Amino acid sequence: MNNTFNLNRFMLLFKKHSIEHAKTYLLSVIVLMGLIFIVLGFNSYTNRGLLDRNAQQLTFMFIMLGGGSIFTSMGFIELGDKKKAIPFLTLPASHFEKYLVSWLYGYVIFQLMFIAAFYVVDIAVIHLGTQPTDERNQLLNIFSSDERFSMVFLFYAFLNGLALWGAVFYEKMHFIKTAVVFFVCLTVMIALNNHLLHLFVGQELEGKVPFQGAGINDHVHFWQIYPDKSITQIGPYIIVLMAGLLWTSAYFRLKEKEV
Amino acid sequence: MIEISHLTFGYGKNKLFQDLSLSLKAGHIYGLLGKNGSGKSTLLKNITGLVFPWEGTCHVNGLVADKRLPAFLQELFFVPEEIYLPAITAKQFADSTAHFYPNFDNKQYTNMLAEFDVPADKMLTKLSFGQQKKVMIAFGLSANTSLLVMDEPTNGLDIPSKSQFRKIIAAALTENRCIIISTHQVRDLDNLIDSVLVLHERQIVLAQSLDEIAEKVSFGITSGTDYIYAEEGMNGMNAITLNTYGGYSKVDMELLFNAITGNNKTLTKILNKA
Repeated sequence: MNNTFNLNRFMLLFKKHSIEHAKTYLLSVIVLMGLIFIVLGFNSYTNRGLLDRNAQQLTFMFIMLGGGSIFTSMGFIELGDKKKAIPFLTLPASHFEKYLVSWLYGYVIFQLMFIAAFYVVDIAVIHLGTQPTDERNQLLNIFSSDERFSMVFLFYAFLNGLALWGAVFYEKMHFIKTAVVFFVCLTVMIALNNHLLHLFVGQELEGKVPFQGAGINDHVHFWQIYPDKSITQIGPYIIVLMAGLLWTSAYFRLKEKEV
Repeated sequence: MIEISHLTFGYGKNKLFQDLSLSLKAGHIYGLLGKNGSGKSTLLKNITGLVFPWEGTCHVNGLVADKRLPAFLQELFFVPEEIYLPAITAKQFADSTAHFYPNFDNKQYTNMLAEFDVPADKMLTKLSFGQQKKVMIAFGLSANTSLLVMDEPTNGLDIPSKSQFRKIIAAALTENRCIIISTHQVRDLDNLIDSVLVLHERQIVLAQSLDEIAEKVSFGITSGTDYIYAEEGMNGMNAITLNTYGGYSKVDMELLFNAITGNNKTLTKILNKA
């Protein structure tokens, strides 16, 4: 018997999870579609039916990142409740299979469902707001070569890893606690970056964003310093690496979980 | 079946077990007794791999419990004191979960639900706590795992159900199966268990079959003073005396438990004498 992964066992687990969570997931899709409709609809309504690509793009990004993180943080909700954690941990499937089901739902299925839900609502709102002669409203293409979109998907991988890690690590209020940790780390990183820059340059800089550059202002001239291309090019890889580390860390934390 | 060796475990700084060793065999129904807070549930969690020993090991069927491998889990079913069941029917629950247990017997499950008078097509979340517990017990027994662990299974069961429970458990025991039942309601184990485990002061102070106990000591009413332990009852003194005449008396579990947890060293010494 393979104690790490067995496809048949995994499929059974996936089916069991889907049956037991079907109602919750269905409600989540409805809530998600409602939220997208409110944001896009409000935008279209206040702009006399105009729904520009920028508004669609921002709606897509924020709801996907925010909604996906909340959804993922509920992935191991069983572990926060002893009554639910016992049947979950003693069910005859490997930790890897249990982890993979939550990962699939939080990362792969959520993105697919979100994209489908977004387009259904987006098409509906555009249709409702567009006059027959009006060609201003154009549907957003998330698969365009627009760099911002690839970064959204990359950043979702990181947030998904973080939310999944938080879901396993914390017993209660997973999302809030994980968000607090994230913002504390971000603040520490920015403070450390500022301190290091001050040490290197010997004066206060402006527009200091970690990994993005900084500006020098002598009250006459302003110089913007950009990081070397080789540094910016590895940015996406660092995000993927961090997502991978968080996913791995969440898996090992699940293996160590006690009730 | 179960080999616990030099187990030390606790929560925070509070040590619940210290160097605890225990060996349990298939073909027996063990009653795990202990005072509130003595660590009965925690010992069961160590056996089922839900907590990890600080020191020592716990093996079930030769597998390390805390690794929670599928090979270990498919031969184990744990009915915890507080249970959770999803918002599906008992039938759907079996459809989605039974596949994980290779020896699950669907017919046995249906029959047990009928015997317990639990509707198979009603949402589990709409059932009473007692009925939910019956579903879990029926599922656990039908899973036919080699190890069945139940923590306070009779909590929430009404009097007729307790009697049904005893009958069903007794019928479910096979020579390849080990059943452990933890409870603080000692009377619920009457006519059910064949071996008793008493957890007291971080140790298993007694792990013997009822036959072995009855061989060594006798239980009954006495008017004399030649007893090891006694409690005043309605008809006189309920006493534990040394079994000198070689006959067998029914083990009074409550009296035995009170004597041992009351630190009656003489009794513990006599019972643990090889």
